[in-house]
Amino acid sequence: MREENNGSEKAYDPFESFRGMRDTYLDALSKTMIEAVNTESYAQATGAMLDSYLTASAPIREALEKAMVQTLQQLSLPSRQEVAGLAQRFTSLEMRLDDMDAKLDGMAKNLAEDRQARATANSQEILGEAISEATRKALRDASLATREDIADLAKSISQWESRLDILVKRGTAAPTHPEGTEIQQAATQPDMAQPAKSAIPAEVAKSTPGTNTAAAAVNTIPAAPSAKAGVAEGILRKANAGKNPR
Amino acid sequence: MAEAAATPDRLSEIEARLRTLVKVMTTKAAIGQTPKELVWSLNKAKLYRYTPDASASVRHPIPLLLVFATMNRPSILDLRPGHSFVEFLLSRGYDVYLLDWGVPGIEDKNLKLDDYALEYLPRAVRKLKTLAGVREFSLLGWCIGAIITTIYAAMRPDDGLRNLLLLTAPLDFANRDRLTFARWTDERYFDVDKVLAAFGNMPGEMIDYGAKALKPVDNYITSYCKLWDNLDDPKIVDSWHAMNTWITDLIPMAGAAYRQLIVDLYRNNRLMNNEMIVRGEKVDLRRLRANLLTVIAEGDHLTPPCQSETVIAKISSQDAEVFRVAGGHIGIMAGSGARKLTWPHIDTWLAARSQ
Repeated sequence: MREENNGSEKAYDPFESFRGMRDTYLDALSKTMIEAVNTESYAQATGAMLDSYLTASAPIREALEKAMVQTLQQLSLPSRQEVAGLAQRFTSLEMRLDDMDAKLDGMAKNLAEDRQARATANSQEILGEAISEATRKALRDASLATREDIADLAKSISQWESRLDILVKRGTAAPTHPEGTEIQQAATQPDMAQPAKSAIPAEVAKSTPGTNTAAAAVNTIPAAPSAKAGVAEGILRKANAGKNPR
Repeated sequence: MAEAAATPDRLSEIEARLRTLVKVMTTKAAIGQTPKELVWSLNKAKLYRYTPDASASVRHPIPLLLVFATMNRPSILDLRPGHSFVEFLLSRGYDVYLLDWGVPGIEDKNLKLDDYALEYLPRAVRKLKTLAGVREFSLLGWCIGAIITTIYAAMRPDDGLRNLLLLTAPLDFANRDRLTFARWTDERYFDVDKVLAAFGNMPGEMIDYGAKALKPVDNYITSYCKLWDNLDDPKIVDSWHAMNTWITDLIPMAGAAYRQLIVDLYRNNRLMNNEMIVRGEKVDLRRLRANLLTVIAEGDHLTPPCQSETVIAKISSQDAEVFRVAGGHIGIMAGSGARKLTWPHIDTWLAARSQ
């Protein structure tokens, strides 16, 4: 005997009706029991049962515990309480270790941050170098002077200055040097072909035919030139000699 | 002839059903299967970090710490593959941690709620924040875990707690008429000190009896009848087996913490009245200012809704919500409807506050 159920065949279950009755009965019983356990009398009854059990078992439990402790002592074995006490001390130690662990974590974090900061600085340095190199290349490609070129130039200038100083020293040590004499004379005596250079403003000198930038620069030399200035002026004058209309 | 041939089939069917029944009644199902890593431990407490789900489309930067009750195992949060709250959270991109309180021994009988809330939990949080590299985090407390997390949130408001989720939280014990436990543990009938003097900790069997006795017919008869009726349905059998494995995994509750639960909370409602003293300091719920979601099970017989809904009025959180779900204490999170209703709502609420 079979019956159709939602398109699928299901075996006939003779207990189906019994199951329905059972569920109804259990539902009713459940509600009754929930109400029953939620009463003062139930609380009182279970409390009394528990209390009587504890009261009855207490002497046995205490005697058993006492005997056990004595036996363990005679056997040189630790009691439960002693082991529990040790366990509590271990927990206390564990807490201290945990605190140390946390401090180490903090230190490790700080170190990591420091390392990261350094790494960032390094990478910034590397990046800076890369940018500098790229800039250098770009400027070189564009035929422009780089900062390094200027620095190299400044270095060369310094070297030249040093050499000039040496020359000056030599010059003062040997005043009878023919070229030195000439220079000294040139420096102390105004060039007859030109107006007194110190009296001509640089702007005017620039615009005056027959003068150039180098010559204008010479105009900034003080009226009472030092030996060094004199040497420089002499060099420049030699350089300009070809251009001078004279 | 057909009737005669059907008889052996019927017998073999009954035999198979009996074999299934014996199996689910005598063996333990594999629960708590989601891969996790132990990252911290203190005494019996262990902090686990679940392996993040690589396939999750979103990653939330704020980690979530799950804190379950002290009288049951936390494996209910990760019951079985395909039916696991933890698995669900991972799939939604959360960094999930679990604080497992462990099984207290006799040496832990003096552990109080103070220790759980202000010693163990803050240390676990400290480790979590170090590991996750974050300053803020979310907490989810369930049942007694909700009491512990609430105390912590009120007493350590500057620890970085951004979101607090309370599931079936027994916080308000004022309505004693509706609390069967309060009636049973009344000082006229129940001598808590006598019990603890005898056992040290509150035995798991007694806690289990108390929980089941609230609905004795459902827990001792109807549940088994339903299993018998559905023994040929593997899905229902597997589900029942997993749940039974969790329910029968009984653990004791630390004696001093149980005493506080009965004396401070069930009998005197000290937490809700801002009178509870923890580590010498009053727990002032007004100091709780984390975003709060409290999930209430409408049919909860262990923690009736009246215990969870009033906390909103006592705290300072600007962002607080009560979410009511039809179902029981465990069913709202581990039942068949959890995946459709409770979990998605928790995800929606938490995701918006985990950025």
